[in-house]
Amino acid sequence: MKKYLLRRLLQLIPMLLFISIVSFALIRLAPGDPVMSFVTPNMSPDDIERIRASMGLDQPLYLQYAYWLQNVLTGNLGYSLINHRPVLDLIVERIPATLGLMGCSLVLSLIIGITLGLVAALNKNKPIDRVLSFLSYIGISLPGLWFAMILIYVFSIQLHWLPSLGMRTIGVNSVWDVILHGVMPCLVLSITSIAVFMRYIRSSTISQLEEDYVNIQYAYGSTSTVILFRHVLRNVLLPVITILGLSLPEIITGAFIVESIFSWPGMGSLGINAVFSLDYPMIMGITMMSSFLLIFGNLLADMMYGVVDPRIKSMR
Amino acid sequence: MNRMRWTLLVSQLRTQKSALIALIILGIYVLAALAAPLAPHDPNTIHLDERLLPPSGQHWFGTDDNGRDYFARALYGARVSLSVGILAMLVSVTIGTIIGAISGYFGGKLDTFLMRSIDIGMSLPSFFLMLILNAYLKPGVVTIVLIIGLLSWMSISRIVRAETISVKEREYVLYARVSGQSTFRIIFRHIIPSIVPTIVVAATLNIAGVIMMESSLSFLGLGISPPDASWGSMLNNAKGYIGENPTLALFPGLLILTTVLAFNYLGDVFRAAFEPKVNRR
Amino acid sequence: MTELLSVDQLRTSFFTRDGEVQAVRGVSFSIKEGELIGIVGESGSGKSVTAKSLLRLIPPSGQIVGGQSKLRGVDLLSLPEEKLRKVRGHQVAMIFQDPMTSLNPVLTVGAQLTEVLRRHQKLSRRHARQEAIEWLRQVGIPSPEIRIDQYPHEFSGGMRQRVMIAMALSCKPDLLVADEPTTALDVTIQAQILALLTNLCKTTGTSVLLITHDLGVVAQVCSRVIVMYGGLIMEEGTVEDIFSAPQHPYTKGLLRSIPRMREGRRERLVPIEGSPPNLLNPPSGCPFMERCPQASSECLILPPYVESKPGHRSLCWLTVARKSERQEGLQ
Repeated sequence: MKKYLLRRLLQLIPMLLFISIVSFALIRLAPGDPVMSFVTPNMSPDDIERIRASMGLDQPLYLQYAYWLQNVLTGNLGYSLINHRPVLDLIVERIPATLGLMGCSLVLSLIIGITLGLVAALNKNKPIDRVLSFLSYIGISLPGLWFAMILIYVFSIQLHWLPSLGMRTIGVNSVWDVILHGVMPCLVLSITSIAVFMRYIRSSTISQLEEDYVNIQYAYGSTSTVILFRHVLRNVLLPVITILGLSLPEIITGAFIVESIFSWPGMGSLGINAVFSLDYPMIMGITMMSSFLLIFGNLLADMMYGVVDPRIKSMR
Repeated sequence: MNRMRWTLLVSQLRTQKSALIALIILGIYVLAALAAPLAPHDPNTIHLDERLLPPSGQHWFGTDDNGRDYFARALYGARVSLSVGILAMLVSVTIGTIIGAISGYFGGKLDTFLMRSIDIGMSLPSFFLMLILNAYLKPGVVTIVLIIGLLSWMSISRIVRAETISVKEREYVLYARVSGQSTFRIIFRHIIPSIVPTIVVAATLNIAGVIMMESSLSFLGLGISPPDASWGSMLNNAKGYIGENPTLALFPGLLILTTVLAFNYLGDVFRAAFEPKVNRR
Repeated sequence: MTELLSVDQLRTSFFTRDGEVQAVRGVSFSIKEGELIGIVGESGSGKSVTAKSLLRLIPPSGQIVGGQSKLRGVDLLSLPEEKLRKVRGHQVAMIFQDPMTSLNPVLTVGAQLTEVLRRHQKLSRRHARQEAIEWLRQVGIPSPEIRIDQYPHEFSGGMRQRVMIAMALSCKPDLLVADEPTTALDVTIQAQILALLTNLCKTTGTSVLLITHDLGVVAQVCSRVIVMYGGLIMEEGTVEDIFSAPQHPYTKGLLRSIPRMREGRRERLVPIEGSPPNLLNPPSGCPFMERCPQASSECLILPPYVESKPGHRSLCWLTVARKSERQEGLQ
């Protein structure tokens, strides 16, 4: 297990290097002067020249990359071109809102997805299963942004139940307020994963119920409830961790869209705004951050799966 | 083997009415997109005195904020959305198939290198990269097709690789190798044709994904730019009038939903038809 | 010996899209206490469905259409579900064909063994664990104290089948139904498992119903044999009766198709030509008719069971004819 962990961590190195090259390319490909990304408003032209020299822009490209990488490794991701604050600070400010949204959505999709998947599997080919299966197709095919517009139209414009923008009402500082703001974004972000989880749980439960060990349990006097919860569920839920890891890119993509529609003050809307204003240092920072999130999310899922599944545990 | 799979597919389509419905929906959309110039109104003519009209006999889908006929715009939008979907799918399926087949056929270090690269590529937030590239480059149908196609072939090549590895051990491929046929010929004449069903499934699901991505990009204003419209950019436009005329959002949304739904559903039907039921007892 | 289980006119069908598949079409037999009895037949003969029907363990598409299966006088086929659950694993235990898939991969062997013990014997957790270790030792698993906390994938196929035997016998059942218990195992291990099974059952006095396609296995283990074909019992008798004086052409065919040494020379193997009947529309007469070398027009009607000697019955017009000849000869 320790060896495996070490190997996985070593595998991260080329990945991180590649991501850093892509990020560097994003800055260098951008039209304009790269020095600008390190300029703060109160610098004199002399200062700027000094930065240019210190950045070694007269040096060959690989040295520039090495120098830039050193900066990044020490946490210096440059300054936002828009509000001239350090990129890292801005991202760190925004991360809790994004992680909170993603976390809520994951919990919601797991609970609803697993429940509906089990209901569908236990009622295989009955009307309720067919209805759920149709809904799951809608779930994976629903354009999130359109779903968001429908929700806003119904719950904000018509019913005035939920606020449609931001995370807090200005001047109000309560958890309830944040929850009210979060309901719709969370729902939109979850709808696809609910459908994905549900479909997975359904098919996996159905195939597990046909396994020999289930028949054996019946033959030894177990009730179907015991079989479902003690034997089958464990086998069905373990791979969900992997599915979680696999659906991470979708969730991150979803967060970009959802945050921008609902003006949720997270990393996603920061990123979208940066793209619109061509704020290159910011774009680079968000690219790196979301890549990290993806990589470490997947790593975490892998590790957890290794810990909970006895077969994998002994294989490593 | 392949013919058997195709007959299976046809019988599957015959017995499953819902698959037929999905095919019919897509057929209607494609025909409508092709016949768009026959629409009674011009999609880009502005009538400021006919703004935001509700659906009527005159304007089936109503009119938008510039008084343009929304039905005609939806038809022309179908052209853009569907062709972006199909073209980007072709790009990613072509790249994915070739890389996957090469990786699976040759194996060894080349395979390891290609697969590790794909792992790395898939760890990038591809949607955000699409946004960035669209912002850097001049948006348009070709740009969008290339950007989406070039960033979404990785999962296809993984599937193709796995399939290639299993096919390359079959007798007829071994025979072709023994009888001295060129590697190029073996890959294109023997391996790729026998994994066509897998590719069809991947391609069908890929179109669904691409249409969704295009609509998201256009919705965020980084895809198709005015005066051209795709269903996604129509949604983007409708965003501002959601309170006044919600039907503006309703039609393009429903069109995207039904198209993506039909492709997703067909993909599953194809998969069910092609996959041998190994575990059936 | 008293009668333990008596099966009377058991009929089981599967309802498929194409219609009713009559897998078991009226099967009657009985098992005495401590008896080891085998059911032999090809795949599709209905032997496995018969065994599963005894405990109502057939898949949802299947249905027991008629008959009785009385265990010590209690009909299992009409018993309410909760009462039946107390019988399953407690009075009647089952071993299945594939030990690789018979155990839940994510629970330890111990957890699965103790679960049965705790349910039926109402043992405490600690007591059940001791009992489980003891049973693992009984079935010949080395260092059971360690093995009990391991997962199924850490056991070989033969070892897993030993675990299944331990699980089956741990509640001291009256009857053990073993459905092809050695088919999935290596030949060398098959013999070990069979020896273990018979020895343990003989010491505990458990009756065994062994389902197999292998006459050799039956000869090694059982005292009585039932030969099934096309959902019907073709012939039943002691192992000696069946092997030395088979009555039914199907039994004869089966015997010719297994390799064995007789007087030092190898006999030629003769396969039975053709394939088993379609049970979707089973023939009204003898199901073996189409493949039978001795078939005649009589076989279009199903013959009655006739005993060629006490305890040895068969379902064939030839037996009927032989018997009436004998009776005429006596008169």
